[in-house]
Amino acid sequence: MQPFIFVIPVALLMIAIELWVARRRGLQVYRLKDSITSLNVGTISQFVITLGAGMNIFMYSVVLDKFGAFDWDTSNPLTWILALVLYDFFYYWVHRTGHEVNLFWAAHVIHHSSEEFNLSTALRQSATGFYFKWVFYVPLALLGFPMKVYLTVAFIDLVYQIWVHTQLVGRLGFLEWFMVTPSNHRVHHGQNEYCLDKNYGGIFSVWDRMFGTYADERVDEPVVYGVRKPLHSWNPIWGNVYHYTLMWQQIRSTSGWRNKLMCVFAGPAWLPPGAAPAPEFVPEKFERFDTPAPGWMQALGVFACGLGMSVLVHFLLVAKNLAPGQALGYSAAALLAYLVIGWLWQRPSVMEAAHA
Amino acid sequence: MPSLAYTDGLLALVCLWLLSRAGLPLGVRIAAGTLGLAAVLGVLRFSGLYPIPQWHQFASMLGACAAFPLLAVAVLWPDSAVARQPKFAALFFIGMAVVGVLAVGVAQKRVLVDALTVISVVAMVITLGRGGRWPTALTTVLMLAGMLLFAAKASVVPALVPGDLLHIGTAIGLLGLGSSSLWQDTSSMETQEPQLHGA
Repeated sequence: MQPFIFVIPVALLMIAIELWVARRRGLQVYRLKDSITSLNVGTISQFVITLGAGMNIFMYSVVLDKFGAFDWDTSNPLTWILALVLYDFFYYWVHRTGHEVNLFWAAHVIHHSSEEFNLSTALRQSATGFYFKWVFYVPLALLGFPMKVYLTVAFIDLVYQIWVHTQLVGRLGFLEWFMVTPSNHRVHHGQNEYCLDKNYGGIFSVWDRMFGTYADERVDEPVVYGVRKPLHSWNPIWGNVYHYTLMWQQIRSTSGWRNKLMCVFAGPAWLPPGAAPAPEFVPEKFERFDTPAPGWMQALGVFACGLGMSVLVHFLLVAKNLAPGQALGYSAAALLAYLVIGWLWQRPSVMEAAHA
Repeated sequence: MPSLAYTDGLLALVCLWLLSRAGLPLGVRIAAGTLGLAAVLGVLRFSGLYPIPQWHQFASMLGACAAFPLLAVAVLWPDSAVARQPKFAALFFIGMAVVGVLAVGVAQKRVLVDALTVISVVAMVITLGRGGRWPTALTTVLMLAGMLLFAAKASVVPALVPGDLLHIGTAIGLLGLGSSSLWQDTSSMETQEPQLHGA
């Protein structure tokens, strides 16, 4: 059974609690369209990951069977602790690569495309990143960690990262020295100059300190969330592919094969020779993306989101017994609902008609 | 102790020498490090000191599918980002390693990886020959000969097994590359890093 079936209600409960606490404190940390989009993106990613989960497991088992060197005593807690620490180390490099190589940033950017920062942002996960991540965990297979250990520590690492997506928890004292916390993860999601390419850790921030990518949150400069090439859309499918299209446009408009390769493998901020530099980012002037939508349309979005999530839960429960065509049918139904909502929410003519 | 342990030891020493040469492009040193790791694991395996045959096979596979192509890139395009810059060298290496894992682990076709190695070394020989670097071309030809004799399981020297010829040939080839002046004029490139960071 998919462990995410258990994560969904827990995550929704945490979101409800965060929303309630924020209201009590008089803080606005949620915007409906942004959060619904985050949840829709998360649902889509689970459909795709379930369909493609075999790849990660298959590649791990191939390396484990052929090259795995040692037998580990899974009744010994140290085995699990060591595996978790090593997994988190490799996660750091997966994550860093996801930010510093344009091709992989195209997969990861969706997670950073929200201009809010709350627990729903944690669920805004990529549907296209699964194809390269397994590579980084090959050393765990070489060491011979059994599949159940690998999958368990991967799950723990992922679930830990949900709670750090909040603005409601301040600095956490000595934990800031070695753990990923809401404070240092806020920096990771920022687009302020001091936030760029910082704080890649999953559970432990020691990797960032070791490799020079750590930055503390600044009290004098509030973090502005989002990315420099903004998504400007509520469409979760477009969100998953838009940076690929930007990359493709850059490749087509760049001359010389070396420069074309750089468009793919250099960092997201790389510019071809002669290109105009990006305008300076001024945090105070940043305006968050929004579109007007009447109440009934927002309610429709919430309904579609709930429907999609229900379909996902049922899909996860029965996925093993589904023929590939049926599984794709499930996914297509949810995708279609999200596509329509995303389109409706930002279609100017529909908005104008609704307001009229 | 079998001869394979000694010849792997010789290869490991040559790789260590290459690693210690700061003037060489990073790509060359990554390739040398990988081949050196395979050689050290070979020493541990064949000497019986601490045999981890799976790791020796994996490191050898990495050497074949990633280290030799990386060396070839550094010879063919000495100023390229893959040859000079850590990020691009690592990306190239990882990409080729994926090819190796897919070929050996999934498709069970080790021959694909071996073909990649031979193509890489042939490309080096041709480039070195066309550039008039005859001594280095000759040592690289000896490296190729060692590989082909190993592939043919030919034992031309009575005391040595085919694996020894592979080790000795590779060591000679790496010695030749390490002592050539191929990368001397361009070492300043290493410090040039394009704008890579972004959010």
